[in-house]
Amino acid sequence: MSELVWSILKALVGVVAVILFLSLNVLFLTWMERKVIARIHVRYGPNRAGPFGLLQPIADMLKLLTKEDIVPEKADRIVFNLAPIMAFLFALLPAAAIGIGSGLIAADLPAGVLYIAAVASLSTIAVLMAAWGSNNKYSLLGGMRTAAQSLSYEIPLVLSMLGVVAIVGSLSTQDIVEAQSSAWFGIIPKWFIFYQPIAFIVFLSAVVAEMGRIPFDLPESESELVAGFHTEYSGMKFAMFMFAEYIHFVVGSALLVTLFLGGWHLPVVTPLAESLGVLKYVVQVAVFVAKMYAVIFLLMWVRGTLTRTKVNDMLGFGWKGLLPLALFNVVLTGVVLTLRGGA
Amino acid sequence: MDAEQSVELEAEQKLAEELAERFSAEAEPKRRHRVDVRVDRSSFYQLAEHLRHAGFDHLSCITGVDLGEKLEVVYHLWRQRDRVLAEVHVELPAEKPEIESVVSLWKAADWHERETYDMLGVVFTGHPDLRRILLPESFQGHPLRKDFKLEPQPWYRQGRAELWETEVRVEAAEDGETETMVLNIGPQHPSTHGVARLVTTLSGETVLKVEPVIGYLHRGIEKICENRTYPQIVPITDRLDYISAMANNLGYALAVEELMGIKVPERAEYLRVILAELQRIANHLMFIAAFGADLGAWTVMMYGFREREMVLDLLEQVSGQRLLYNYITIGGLRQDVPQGWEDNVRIFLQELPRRLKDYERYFFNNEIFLRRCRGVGVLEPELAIELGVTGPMLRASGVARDLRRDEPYSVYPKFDFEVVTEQEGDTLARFVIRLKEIYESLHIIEQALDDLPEGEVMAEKVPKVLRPPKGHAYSRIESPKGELAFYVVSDGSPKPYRVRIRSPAFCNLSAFPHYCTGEIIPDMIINFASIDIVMGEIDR
Amino acid sequence: MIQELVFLVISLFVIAGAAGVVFAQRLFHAVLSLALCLLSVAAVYITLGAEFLAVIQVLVYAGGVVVLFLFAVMLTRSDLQLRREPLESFAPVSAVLFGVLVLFYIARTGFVPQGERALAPGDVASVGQVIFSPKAYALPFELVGILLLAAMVGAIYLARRDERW
Repeated sequence: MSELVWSILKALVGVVAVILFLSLNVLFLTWMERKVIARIHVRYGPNRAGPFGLLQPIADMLKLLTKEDIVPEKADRIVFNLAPIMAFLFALLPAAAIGIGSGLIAADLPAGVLYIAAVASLSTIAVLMAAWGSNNKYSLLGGMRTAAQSLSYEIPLVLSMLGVVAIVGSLSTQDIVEAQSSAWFGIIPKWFIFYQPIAFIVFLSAVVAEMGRIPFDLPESESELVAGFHTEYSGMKFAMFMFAEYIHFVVGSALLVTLFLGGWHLPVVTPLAESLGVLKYVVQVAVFVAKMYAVIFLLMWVRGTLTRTKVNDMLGFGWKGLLPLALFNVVLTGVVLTLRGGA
Repeated sequence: MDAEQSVELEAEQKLAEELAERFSAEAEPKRRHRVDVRVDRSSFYQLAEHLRHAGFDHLSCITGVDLGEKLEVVYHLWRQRDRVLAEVHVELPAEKPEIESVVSLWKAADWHERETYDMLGVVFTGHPDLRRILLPESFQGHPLRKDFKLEPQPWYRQGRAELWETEVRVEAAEDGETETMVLNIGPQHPSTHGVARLVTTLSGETVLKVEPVIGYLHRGIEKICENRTYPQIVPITDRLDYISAMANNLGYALAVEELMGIKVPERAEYLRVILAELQRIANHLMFIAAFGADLGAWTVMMYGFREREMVLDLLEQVSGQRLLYNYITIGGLRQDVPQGWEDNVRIFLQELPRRLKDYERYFFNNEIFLRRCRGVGVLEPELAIELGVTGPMLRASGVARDLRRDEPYSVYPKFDFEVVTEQEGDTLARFVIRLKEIYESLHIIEQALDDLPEGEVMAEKVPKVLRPPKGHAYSRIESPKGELAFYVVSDGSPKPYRVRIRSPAFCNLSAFPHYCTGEIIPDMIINFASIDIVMGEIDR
Repeated sequence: MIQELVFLVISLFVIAGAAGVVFAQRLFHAVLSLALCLLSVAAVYITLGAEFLAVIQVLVYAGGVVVLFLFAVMLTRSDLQLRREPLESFAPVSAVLFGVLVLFYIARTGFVPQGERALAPGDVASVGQVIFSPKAYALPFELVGILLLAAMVGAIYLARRDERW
């Protein structure tokens, strides 16, 4: 019986830790995004709320909490109200299988990567719910565009993960990170970005599209469809959508780091940290978070620089560009692995 | 007329004689580029047809004037090859003001005739769709008539909002299989530049038909002008195209100066040119910024506004205002430029080209941007001329017409500059041409600064109370958006009898539905952005 | 004991979802109930140790089929109200028949839970071995793949219209 209690407690701790980690990162990210974009635009960004504007996310949160919650008259109430909750929930799910340190994972699923792929596809449902529930032509158009984009880029996303899985021989994210722990000459890390460069490019493009960021930010192309599928949302519900979007951002970046950038392993640092006892976890988390923020910064830089693609260009790029590339990569990986002695 | 003048007016004289003979019209050359024609209503259409086939392919403006017992309709038609503008006056009886529509001759007449009907009640027989354009359908009366009572509409006091609605004709698609959807883009929308409403009929994402609905910013400026003295109207003109206010001031000042025969001193003329070109640069920078914003390139928007600030600083130094200057006035300028201003302008001339290099590098290396704009919204040159399109939009389709060279005003003939054209006529061309025009403007400003004479900036003997002699004048300038023209009628009193403003954005926008069908929504939005409209000018 | 409790809770969700599909007033709500039902079935699979099947259930059914249904409902903008009258006359009869059938099968087991039976391993590696080994299901797998390809090509052809894209 105590085993059951123990496992339930462990699960709870995992859940709480994931939610805490994500929430803290998301809060920080809203500040960071505004600052980075602002500097690219040659302006300051938030600098009034607290030192360097660091309390800005708190201010935003308070503002959104105190806003009037408007539900359009002809909207489908149940669906309209459920959608932001679903969006938030489905955004959180993939994070359960991503670890930030060895053993620092909510659920080390043997089929981790597959699980992530599966729940990532669920967030489309929340978008469609929001689009439909608003009873608004703009939302409908925006929602369908978003869904089309998500669906189109899911396949290259999953396929690009296959190459990595084939090399490691396991679907567990912990195993995938462990497989990247060694280094050439002790310095150049054996990360999968070097073993699977094509897959890395495909994954990077696909994950940017899944996140709905520029250049693939059609879902919220403000200048065309006001605000797409969340046009009609205000106050806390809108905040939930924003939160969900940033969670996607964090989770997507974390996944990229896990699969291609060696997770929490850094050539000289992590072997040294092994001898530090409990502190080694701190080092691992620090390395992971640093890499994650490097990716995040890169994606923000891209946002400040590129323009938006047109709908048909976006679909074309996904189906006619990334998909064949991903398939080619899978075949190539298979051939190379078989020649070298099988996976 | 002395010998020199009679040589200059050869083309005009020839036209006048021809028209007088064939259509028993009264025609006389008024000055260079102007022939006044008065014709009977009965011979009007043949005259119009003749002019159309004789090479008058550009309909500049149609104006209605309420003369009490009669309503006068004035047509301004332009022939490019000998640079002649024919001003055709037709008088109609006030009880039954009907005249044949000329839409079949000039497509551009469509919106002009609707406006004249809206404002004065002139009925154009044969017009495909004669209904109000600036005012709501349910409006009663015709405001620009002299007997129109300035009081609230009967339904206004009742507060019945539905009566403000504008009737929109939407036909169901013939293809009965898929439902078509009618989507209102605007008037509140982050992308329409101002309060414009595009009623779009969509099939999926493809645009089947677009109807721009305007009038949301109508302030009755033309009517207001009839109740203000001539100098009082100058600040009102600022508020037409509020992005390029200097140009509006200039156009109006030129019209009144022509009426009064005022000669503006040389220094003022040079400064006017510098200010007009600076305004052009500011306008085009704003265009680039807004264009970037529509594409999702927020960075470009910020950069564009930053460069524009440099120009606004210069303009603030001369007039004290950043946006609505009230500086170029009748007879010259309100006051001279401050000391050191010319040096500031020179610094600006050095600085801007360096910054523009950044823009070029950003845009022309950007695959996504080029893909989005190339081949989108192609406007054929013949269609453009027929629809009355002017300015950078026309030149982007390969037609080399520019009023600074065709009908020069102020001291433009003294400067050496190129009329920039692009050949493709697509959105990218409309973007590139404005970028290139900035360089030309910089060149003009440099030449003007080098030759800037000393002297007064205000003409002598401009009376405090302006009473222009009876008559009318039509002044046209090349504003940053196209041909901006003012038709001013004076009855000898301190207030004008009629002021008509021919706005380039109005005419360019009327062309929009004709060449954007069959595109998808994002393309249409970019297309719309490339026209460069300002609602203040369109709605007046 | 815990096992059975968990199974009970999950099956409540399955039944609730299924009931929602049948009884929902609006088509969109019916599809969402279906999503709930399918996700709960995935949970059942997990309790049986068939983790591969559970993940595929989520990926294909909830993430794919449900989205397809939602698109269909949104694009055709079907009526918001479902008409239930034709169904109602059949409902009591079919409910009774179905109830009899279920009771019959339960009676055959003698009302004794079948307990732990040896289930084939449900983890991804084992399933993969079974699907791809030539002695087992490799050939049917390839045939199914071709069938799906044919269906996809057919669907694209039928849905294509003379438009640019």
